[in-house]
Amino acid sequence: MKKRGIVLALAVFLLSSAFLNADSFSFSTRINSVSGGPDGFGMSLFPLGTDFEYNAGFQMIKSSPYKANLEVRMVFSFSEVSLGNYDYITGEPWWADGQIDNELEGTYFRPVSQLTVTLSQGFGVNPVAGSGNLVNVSLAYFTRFAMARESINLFSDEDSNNPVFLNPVYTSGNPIPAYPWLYGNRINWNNAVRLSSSLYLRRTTTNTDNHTGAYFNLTLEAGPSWLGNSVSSGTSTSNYIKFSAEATEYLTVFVIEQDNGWNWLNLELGHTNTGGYIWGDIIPEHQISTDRLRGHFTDKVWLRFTGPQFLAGDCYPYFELSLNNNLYFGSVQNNSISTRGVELRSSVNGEIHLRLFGFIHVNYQFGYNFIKGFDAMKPNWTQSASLGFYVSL
Amino acid sequence: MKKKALSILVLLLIAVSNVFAIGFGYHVIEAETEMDFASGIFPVALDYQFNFPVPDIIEGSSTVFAFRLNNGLDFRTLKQNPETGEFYALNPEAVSHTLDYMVLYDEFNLFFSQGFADDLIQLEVSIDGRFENAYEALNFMYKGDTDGLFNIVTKNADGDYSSADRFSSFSGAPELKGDRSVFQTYVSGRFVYDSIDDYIVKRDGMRFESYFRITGPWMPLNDKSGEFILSENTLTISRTLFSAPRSENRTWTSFVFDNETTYRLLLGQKVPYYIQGGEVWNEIASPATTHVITNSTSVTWYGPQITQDTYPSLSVFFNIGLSVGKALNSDDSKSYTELVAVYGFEAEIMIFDIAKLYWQWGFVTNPVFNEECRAISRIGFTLGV
Repeated sequence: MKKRGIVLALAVFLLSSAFLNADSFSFSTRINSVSGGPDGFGMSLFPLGTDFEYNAGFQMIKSSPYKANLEVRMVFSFSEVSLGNYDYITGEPWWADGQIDNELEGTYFRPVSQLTVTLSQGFGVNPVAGSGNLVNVSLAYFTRFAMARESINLFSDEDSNNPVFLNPVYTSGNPIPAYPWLYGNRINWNNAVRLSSSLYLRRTTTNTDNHTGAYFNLTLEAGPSWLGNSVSSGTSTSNYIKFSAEATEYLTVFVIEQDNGWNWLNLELGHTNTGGYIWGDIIPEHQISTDRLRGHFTDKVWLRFTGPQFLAGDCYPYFELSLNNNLYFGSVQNNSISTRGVELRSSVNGEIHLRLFGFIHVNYQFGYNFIKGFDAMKPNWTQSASLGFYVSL
Repeated sequence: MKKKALSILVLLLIAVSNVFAIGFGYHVIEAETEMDFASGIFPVALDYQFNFPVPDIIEGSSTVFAFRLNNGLDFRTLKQNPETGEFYALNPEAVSHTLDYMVLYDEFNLFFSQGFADDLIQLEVSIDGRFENAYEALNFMYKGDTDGLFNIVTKNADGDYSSADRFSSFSGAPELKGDRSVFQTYVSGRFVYDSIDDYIVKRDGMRFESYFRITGPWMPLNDKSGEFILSENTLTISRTLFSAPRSENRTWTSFVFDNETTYRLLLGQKVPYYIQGGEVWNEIASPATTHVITNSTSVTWYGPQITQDTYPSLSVFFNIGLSVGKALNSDDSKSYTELVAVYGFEAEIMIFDIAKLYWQWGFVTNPVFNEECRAISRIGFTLGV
């Protein structure tokens, strides 16, 4: 593992040195989000995980007027994960025949750290905005380190006296097809490459992040077993190819401005579709999708009221009302029987957000969810509500 | 604690010299790593800061109003018996169970800092808080046959497991009482006199820093798990012994001598682990007593600057720590005097002043109390800005 670490660090060093020919390299930092810890750590008020990135703009193609960007993004988080619902030998889901012969149960602790290095190059000028790039092509290398260890609450009370991983399923050394990330020493180092292409036909209409226009994206990601995804015994912990696409359209319906140019109120109408499918015989933990179905298609329409801005340009509330229709389909991941299923999940959601100095982000969301899924006993309609607090830029 | 030592260079080069030069918005001060997690390659904790937009009150000197957050995972080794406060290192042979545990933590500081005389002097006041929760080590029950630090685990005849608490009282480790979580608030202040001319691979001058932190049951929002006063005073002297200039902003090579002396005075009834300090090198810390003096002497060779802030370096160091006085969190009225010494080297490659690849090796020539002399080696990667 040490060797791989040095290779990785050297690769980053060489990569960054190779693109370097002047001291005028400028970096910027962003904190994308922070997340809470496992089990309501610190009353859920205190963040524990963080997602941050460094960006550097530079000239990669000498004859091109368009800049390239190198982004290094790191994420770490800690969570408690519950097992269940799948046969660990065949990967059969609980809904296939109403019962599971070989089920694993329990809760484990999962610290995760991810590193993504993305090199992107822009081309052309966005004709809608008159600035920025029309097309952006990026190539990313993704690497993820995760461990599965006993729950941090093990033995903390009467009900948590059961260590998960002393089960012979884990200690016997046999593969666990439905949970490849729980095999062996349960230390996972997974790698993937991602090729992505975006088309920008939108412009920013306000300084509160509203748009008019359209955005399209195509992404292909591969985590083959030969890309450092095998453990020492030769067993692979990842082998997949994933394709995904997105199309989003925006329209800023109206903007009412204050005297100083800030907004009193504006309205954005938006619509987005995403779709994708994942192929492969070994799907790693971070690519396990909703109910383990390989395909998805989503449709979302939203209305977003923003304003007024107060104190500083980046202090404002917004209210978003959305209608979501998500379809999950295809065969089940990490399943040797090729069971197929279709599931529809729809929801009407409201979200109230408050942003202060682009720094503190409070949100309250509520919704009605409709799930036409596998569980006949579950009511089709459920209500949900949550309060969130996080740091964002 | 060890990660603090790992990043001394990053902190010296970045935080000290540049915090007052960085502008509005977010700044990642440091990404922290642990050897037990991915060999120290991936981060488990992050220290970052948001600067509010404030104008400089005095022209030529910086005014900073900022919120700093440090959160993540920390791996620790218990040094004093929670029931008696006795140092484990006095009798290492007698300890048959693990002393390792893991902490999830969050620390925030809302601070205001003002420079005077072109930032030669800085004054800072801060309101701080810290949330912590301690758990068994990450590899607890990993092999199925190990006891924890807090839990004595037994396997019953029917194959089930049960556990009993190892400790019944926690006067020697007040933050591990009850559900092993604490929330403490503080006020702190800092005075800095800094006359070091810092040109990354050349440093000349002197820096003095005095830091003060206090908490007690009278602080609002405090869970009363801590009660202490800390005064930490650091004097740093740097001198460039030799340098070969390459161009205006770069050198071919240089040698720099640094000496840092710290005196810590720590008074109080309940002193949590994370404030005890006294780091000599990596996880080696001078025993937690009322007075702790540490000194670090190093000579660093800097190789050619590939860019202004991309270069290799190699430093040779000799660090000592001297603890004097009564043991903290202990009913024992005996006074201790203990010297700890470590020598070794650190080889590093700094990349854009942001990423650092390092290899460190140190030999503990005068260990803590009755522990054995040993060598420690580690390689890793850190990020910071």
